[in-house]
Amino acid sequence: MTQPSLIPTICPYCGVGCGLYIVVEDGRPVGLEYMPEHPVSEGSLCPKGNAVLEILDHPERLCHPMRKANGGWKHISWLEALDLVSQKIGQVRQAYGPDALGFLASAKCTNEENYAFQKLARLLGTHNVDHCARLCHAPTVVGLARAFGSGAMTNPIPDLANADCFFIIGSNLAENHAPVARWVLKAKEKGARVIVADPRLTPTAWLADTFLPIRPGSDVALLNGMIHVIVEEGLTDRAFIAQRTSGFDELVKAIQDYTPDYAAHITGVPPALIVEAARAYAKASSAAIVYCMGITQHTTGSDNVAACANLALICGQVGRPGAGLWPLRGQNNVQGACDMGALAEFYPGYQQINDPAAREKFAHAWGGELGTEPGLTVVEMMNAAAAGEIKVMYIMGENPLLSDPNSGHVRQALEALDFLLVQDIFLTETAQLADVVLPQLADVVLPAAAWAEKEGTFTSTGRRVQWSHRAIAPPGEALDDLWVIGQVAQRLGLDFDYSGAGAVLSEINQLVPSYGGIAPQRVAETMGGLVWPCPEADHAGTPILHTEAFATPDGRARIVPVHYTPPAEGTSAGFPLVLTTGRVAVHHNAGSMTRRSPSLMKRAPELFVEINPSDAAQLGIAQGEAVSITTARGGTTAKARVTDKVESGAAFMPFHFSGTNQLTIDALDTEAKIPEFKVAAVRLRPEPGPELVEGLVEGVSKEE
Amino acid sequence: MMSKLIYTDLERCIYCWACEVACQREHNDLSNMSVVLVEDRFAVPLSCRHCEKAPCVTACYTEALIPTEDGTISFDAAKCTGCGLCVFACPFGVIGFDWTGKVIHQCDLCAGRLVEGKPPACVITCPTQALSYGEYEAFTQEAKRRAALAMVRAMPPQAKVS
Repeated sequence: MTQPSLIPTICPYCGVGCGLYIVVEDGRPVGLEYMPEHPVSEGSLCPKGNAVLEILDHPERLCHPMRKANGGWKHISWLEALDLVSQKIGQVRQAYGPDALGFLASAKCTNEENYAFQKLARLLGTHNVDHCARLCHAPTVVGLARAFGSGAMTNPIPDLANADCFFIIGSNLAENHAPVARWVLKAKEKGARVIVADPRLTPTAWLADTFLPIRPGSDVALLNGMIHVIVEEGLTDRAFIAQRTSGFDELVKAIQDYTPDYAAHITGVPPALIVEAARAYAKASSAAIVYCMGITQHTTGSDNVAACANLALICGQVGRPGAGLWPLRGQNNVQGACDMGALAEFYPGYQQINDPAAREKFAHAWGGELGTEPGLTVVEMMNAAAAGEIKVMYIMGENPLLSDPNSGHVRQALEALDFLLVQDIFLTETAQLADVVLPQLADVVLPAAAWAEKEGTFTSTGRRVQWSHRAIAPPGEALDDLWVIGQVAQRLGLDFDYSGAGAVLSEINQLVPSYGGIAPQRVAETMGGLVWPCPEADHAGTPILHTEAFATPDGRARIVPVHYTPPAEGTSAGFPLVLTTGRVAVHHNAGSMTRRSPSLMKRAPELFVEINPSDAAQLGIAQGEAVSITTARGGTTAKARVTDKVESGAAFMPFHFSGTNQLTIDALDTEAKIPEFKVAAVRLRPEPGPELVEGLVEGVSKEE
Repeated sequence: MMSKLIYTDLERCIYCWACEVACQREHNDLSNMSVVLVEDRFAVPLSCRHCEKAPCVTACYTEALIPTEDGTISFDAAKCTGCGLCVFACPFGVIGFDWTGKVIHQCDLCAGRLVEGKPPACVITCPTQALSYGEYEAFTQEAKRRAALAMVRAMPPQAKVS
């Protein structure tokens, strides 16, 4: 027996990028050890991070390539699988053109895998490559890039400790990014003021000095209302506005009608609280805006992000320690997948598809022809599949059947395909529809597999690029995604001859300027990794962006006025309540991993719906009873949680279970193309569940 | 002598369950930590307090639960009959029952980790540092410092000057 060794890895769940060690003995993962020397997590892990080992040895891990046959699954060899896949892709490309192909990349895979994956798609002639960032933070990429010239978190997570005011809107960081709360509390201990705006009284709201109970979808009205107060009361940073921004005068005109009373009327937040929040934010020495999907998952997502940026800009609260915007991203490599061009409109490094210079650069580097127009995004691809325009989809480590809105429609779309290839660590709901399933190195949907069974870099929400080491071998015949992508590419006549993740990262160093200095050996040897932009080999990285100038052509930030527009779906007599969706502490996104993790399932075993006691009483819904929930698109059942966490007229459901996205709407933000997961009009009814029926029968028999 | 114990700052607990899951992993799938939600507004992490006058020790007639020299309560599974009297006696409800082994289980402060110089799993994993491990004096000094700081901050500026 060998001595146990500690292999440093990055947690496969959210975007915080916590470090943890896998304890390996005789090639097996026998334990987990905390990493107190990690600069962001400082040894802490949330419950999901503590449960990662349960995924590695999970009995449901995919261990063999499988093909659907006679309604079941048949094991096939890698050779047969790869030949079949490349044949199908080649045939459809030949017969219908490359845009009949659709590729979904993965926020769970490494930078190197995502880079190779989008390169494969683009060299095959299509820009139809996208991933679930479209469903979480596309408005951040679009909105912050327009305002600041860079669509990413402006300051590192530990820098939150330097803020003396927090405006947290649409983020339940205490549950979803728990180690971030550590840094908020470090600031609070030094006297920072915490303001939280959310439709629910979440554990994040417990940390607040001031809580603004906002109606779902009214964020622009609140932010414009705060801007109105700040402008009226002369609390703007005039020097910052004059020297570093453009567009302020238009903003002043645009927000004239957003008096506190008007904003209160739309948002439901009392006017005095709007004034209080505005004053506290503007007067702070260093104020942090922290936001998440409560801001982005709206048809007005890009406007919401723009309004956050406007608030920061007029107060000069960006580009300094403790002052900036912290969009919290939800997956271990969703930032990296975006950086690597797993988005329909960008080459790696946010170089625009429709920019001829970028096309020339990548065509030359990759040795192939590239299309001139951006491809289809996640939801657009599903629509194209349903319409028969996309014939083949290659899905790597995503579970759109759970994660996308209006899942009834997604099922129709996937079933309409000629051929569906899914590469994953589990037979997810999506994979069950596939024609061929390739067992993945588990880095995808399953962080356990991915992170511990392969190597490569993940980029955290704080732009921190970290190397995750390979601790153990994948189960059965499973192989890492990078190898699979390379094999498929070679069979389609492309020159993909990478010796490993390091070789791909070296290519990335050449083509993505902000990753220029993040060389394989350097990043692998640096605890806490390197923060991009890190353009040269001796560059220390750039924790705080926009300190001197913004990343726009003239160096000035753009103030872009936005107006409140209501959500796509309003309530009606038939659907009188507003449903909003979100997450719970022990589950992650579509739940492919956490719903298979016994210690997490024990603590949140089933779908629930939160409803205010007054609405529950009116509808005859009792605590813990089964409730049917219906929208114009579909219905599901869930257990009632009667609680004043939600206001009257609202309901909340977590989206980790399959029922929730039967209900949500696929109306899109016109610019960022994100669907409005956060607002749907619903009807709730008590439903006699099986327990109740059994109880009645039992009661009758006892009577007799 | 008051032992080194796990202390809780209730204002910091965010009901994330990290301590419970960490404890369960560290103790062979049996968690000795429970986070209890109160009125959807507060959460309280509860585990063995290693009481100075421990009711569980009084109740245990086989001496499976005994006070040690360092001030903690130690548990000897071999002597446990699974009678459950300690479960009734514990005012915090934090003595668990292992239905497989037919014995109780309770917080051992991660004895194996302490030997290696590492803090208990629940403490190091706690994202918000709501849990701490240390001496009574250290905890109360820190609590006093925070309380004093909060009081000073609440004062009007002129009061601070005068």
